Amino acid sequence: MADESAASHVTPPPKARTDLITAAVLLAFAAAAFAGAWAMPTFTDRGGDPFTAPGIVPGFHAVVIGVLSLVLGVRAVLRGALRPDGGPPAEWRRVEGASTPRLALAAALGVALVFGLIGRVPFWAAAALFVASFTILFEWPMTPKERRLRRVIEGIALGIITGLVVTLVFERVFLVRLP
Amino acid sequence: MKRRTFVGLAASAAVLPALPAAAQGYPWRPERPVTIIVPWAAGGSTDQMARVVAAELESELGQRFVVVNQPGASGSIGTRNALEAARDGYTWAAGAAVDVGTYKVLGLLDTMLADWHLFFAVANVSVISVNPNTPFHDFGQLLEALKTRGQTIPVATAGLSSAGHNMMEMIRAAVPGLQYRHVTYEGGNPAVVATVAGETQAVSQLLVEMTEMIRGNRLRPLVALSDKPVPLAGFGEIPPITQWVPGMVAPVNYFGIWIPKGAPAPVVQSMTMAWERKIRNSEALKRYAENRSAIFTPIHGEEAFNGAMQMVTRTAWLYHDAGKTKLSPEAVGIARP
Amino acid sequence: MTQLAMLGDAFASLMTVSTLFNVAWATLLGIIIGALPGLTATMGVALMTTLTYRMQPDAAIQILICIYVGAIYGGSRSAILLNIPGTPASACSTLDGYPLARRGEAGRAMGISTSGSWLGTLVGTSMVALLTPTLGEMALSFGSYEFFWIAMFGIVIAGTLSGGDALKGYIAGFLGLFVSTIGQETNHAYARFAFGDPNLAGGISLLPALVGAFGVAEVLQVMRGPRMQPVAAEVDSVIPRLEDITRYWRTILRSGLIGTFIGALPGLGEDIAAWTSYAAARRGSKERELYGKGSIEGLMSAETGESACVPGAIIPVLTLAVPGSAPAAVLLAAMMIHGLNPGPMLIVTAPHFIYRVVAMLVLADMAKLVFGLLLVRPLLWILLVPRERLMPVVFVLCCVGAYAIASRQFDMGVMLVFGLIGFVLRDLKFPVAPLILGLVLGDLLDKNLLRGLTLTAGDVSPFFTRPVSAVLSAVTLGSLLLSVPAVRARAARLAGR
Repeated sequence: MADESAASHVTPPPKARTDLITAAVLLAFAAAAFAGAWAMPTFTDRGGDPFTAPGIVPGFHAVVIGVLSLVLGVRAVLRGALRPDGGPPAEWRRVEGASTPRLALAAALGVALVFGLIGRVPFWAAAALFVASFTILFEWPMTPKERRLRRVIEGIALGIITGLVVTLVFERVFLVRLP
Repeated sequence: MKRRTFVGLAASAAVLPALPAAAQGYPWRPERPVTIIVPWAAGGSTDQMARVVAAELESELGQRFVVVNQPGASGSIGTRNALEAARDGYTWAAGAAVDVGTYKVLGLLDTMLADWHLFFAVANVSVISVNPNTPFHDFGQLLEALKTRGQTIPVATAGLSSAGHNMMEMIRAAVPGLQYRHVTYEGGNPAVVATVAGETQAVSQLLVEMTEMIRGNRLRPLVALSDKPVPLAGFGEIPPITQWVPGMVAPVNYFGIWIPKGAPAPVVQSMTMAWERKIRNSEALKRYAENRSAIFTPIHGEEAFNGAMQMVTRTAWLYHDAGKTKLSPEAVGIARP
Repeated sequence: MTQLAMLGDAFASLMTVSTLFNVAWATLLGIIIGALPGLTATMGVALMTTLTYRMQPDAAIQILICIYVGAIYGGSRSAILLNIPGTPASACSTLDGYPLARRGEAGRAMGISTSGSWLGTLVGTSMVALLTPTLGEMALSFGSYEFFWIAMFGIVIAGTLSGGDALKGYIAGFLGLFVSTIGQETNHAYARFAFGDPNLAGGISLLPALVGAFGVAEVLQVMRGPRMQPVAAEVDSVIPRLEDITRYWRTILRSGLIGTFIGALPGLGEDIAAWTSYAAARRGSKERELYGKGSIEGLMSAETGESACVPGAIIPVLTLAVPGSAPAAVLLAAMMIHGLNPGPMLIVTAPHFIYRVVAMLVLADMAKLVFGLLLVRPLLWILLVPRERLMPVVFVLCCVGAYAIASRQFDMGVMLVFGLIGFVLRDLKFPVAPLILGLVLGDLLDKNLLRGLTLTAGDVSPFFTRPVSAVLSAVTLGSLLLSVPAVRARAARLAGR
């Protein structure tokens, strides 16, 4: 663990085949972006300098992304992306303790907070609901039965405290009007 | 994390200056902080004006007036948010009146100057200055050069539809054959610096943004968009445009705060009273205006609207004639001057 | 020595109980603002400008400087402990600070960041005292052509910031550059890639993107990963090790000078100062392979660079009335509102004010050191909070942070989208730092390139022939060539011969 960089602290590098797929997605993105840039007006008909055409810079970036993704694709193939096993490393996603359901739950809760709760209920209530359900849902499976009630109460308390403290501090001290 | 915020809360609660007791007799007393949206970046000329006004209103109405910067899309994003906010009197917008008046014809935002209750604080003058190393010593020489070889003379402005760009376009509309190489910068300040550094020969922007450079002899002001000479403390007088382009109309560029119509009547009434009682006599604003060579114009309501419409009308038609509008000014009720 | 006398006077005039009290609370408040993701130095200084409006000018400016100094430093607390930069300036500190914290050296990392930051501001402040007129003038020799090359240089170093896969670093960097083109451009006010949406027409702001790509992505990453034992149980030394400082004095000095210089250039800020110092330190380092994996030197260089940038950014404020960074722009506005009129005339009309600012910076820096050391132990408790309770609170703070700067709900959406993008990219081993760097530099690159071309009617020669441009372009192209493995191998062989 000690020798791993910040960006790699949970998962190993992806397979070569994953890189190949990524390269294909990036290439498609670059092509779409270039098409979008190409279609932009140049304003030369209104006496604008041709160098100020809005599409030049994004078009250039799109071309570079396209070229780099081609290089990534070629490199992936050279590293064995087309082999039946999809190239090394073979221990793909066998990280101890990593869990996709937990990831999905965290992401879903986040989306629910930003697009569902905030703006519909007062901010302190939204934050309290989010923090409480987050804590309770994640702690539930790892808590023995007899301590669950206590954990639920703690979760609700944490939620309410967070909601109130954040709201008070930001609205009173930093003068941010929360949604 | 919480622990630290408590410390912060205690620290700032203990130290921040308490609000002075509010003056009496206002029909509306805000119960929570009032937001003033500045649709430009922090530190700019609108931002400075708004912060001085906010502090004056705080002491008069006994509530915090919080300036929030929402820059982007020529100021239309912040203005849109003020327009869409609840009409409860707690969200105001700040800026230059001419911007609000021309958003509709430019297709940036569906609003007109008449949709707002206007409260102006200062008016800013646009000035063209040159780098002192250029051979232009008066505007006549620059005008001659712009007429004969305009495409080789770079003029810096804060970009499309900025006050400086408007000034250049107004002169171009008045002087046949005039040309210039328009170089845009991120704001008035960077445009001024580019000219001081010699990257462009001339700059057309608000005088507020140039005062220190002029006083330090790093810029030579040639002409002001005005019909009478503009005095600048520590320098002298800047000649008016009418000296070289007779009969050119030089409308005034008002800056202030405003709120969409539909705000509760007591709010508008209170602000009108505050403008009469406090802003009109504000030493801080007078000092600020004098120091930054702006004109102190504490006007509101009808008077403000009529004053600002002159600039709006001219600018809207200027854009229209240059082919830059999405709607004709005629279609939104702005008659050709 | 009238200058020394003026400096002495300045210190003497500030040695009052009320000033020291203001310095203490303002610096602490600044550190808190910096440590909360989303609240930036710019916002803190802007907020306090209004709140200190009725104070004496000197007291108000002192408070603003303390907020500025504190906030830039505070951002690295959350960068080290949570892998979430509190302000854009400390994004670079996550690269080495977080790995250090993860291997149980959070206390040491905060000690290094404190001493590095303290020394950085000190180096920068002495530059203010010594070189204000000279450096101010030098800033003027940087025009559109030069800023274009600075942006290019930043992109070239993007690959080296990845800690391994340079190719993916470049791709992430250009994705960031591309995102920065979204929204209205300056020449024709044409809304690029906005699809008719008024919010997109305003562009993607840096802050929500940053909070998303680091904060939200980190929350997701942590929640997916295995439950970890709290690492801070064995708290290492809290007091910075003298050896850590003496050993890297060269890096500290270099980063301090680079930071000050970047600060003095208008339009660049603490973030670019940190990146540049980091890249320079890495290039000159004997332990290059440690960078990105918990290098003391790397963290030190980033911290010193960003903190030296603060006084650096104040130099052009004083001499030209031109801000060197976004918080400095607000500071400049505050000085103008208080009628202090910084600018070319200041050195004539009020030279003592320059020395008073120097003294204010020193006081803020000292307060930062004291609080930095005092806060290490309480902050380490954060590492003991179980993730099931810490992460939802962090997420709520991310939401507020993304929203606070402009009060737009759209920004929270941007934050979430960038969180998901950042998470996927990280998972595919694309570094996130170049993405943010690209977003920072994109505007700079775009505008200055087009402006340069407009100025010369399409002639590219000034990009190579102006003296400063020539040097910058040579350095940039050289770095680019050296990043190609084959060329580097050839160069190494030639050097060996």
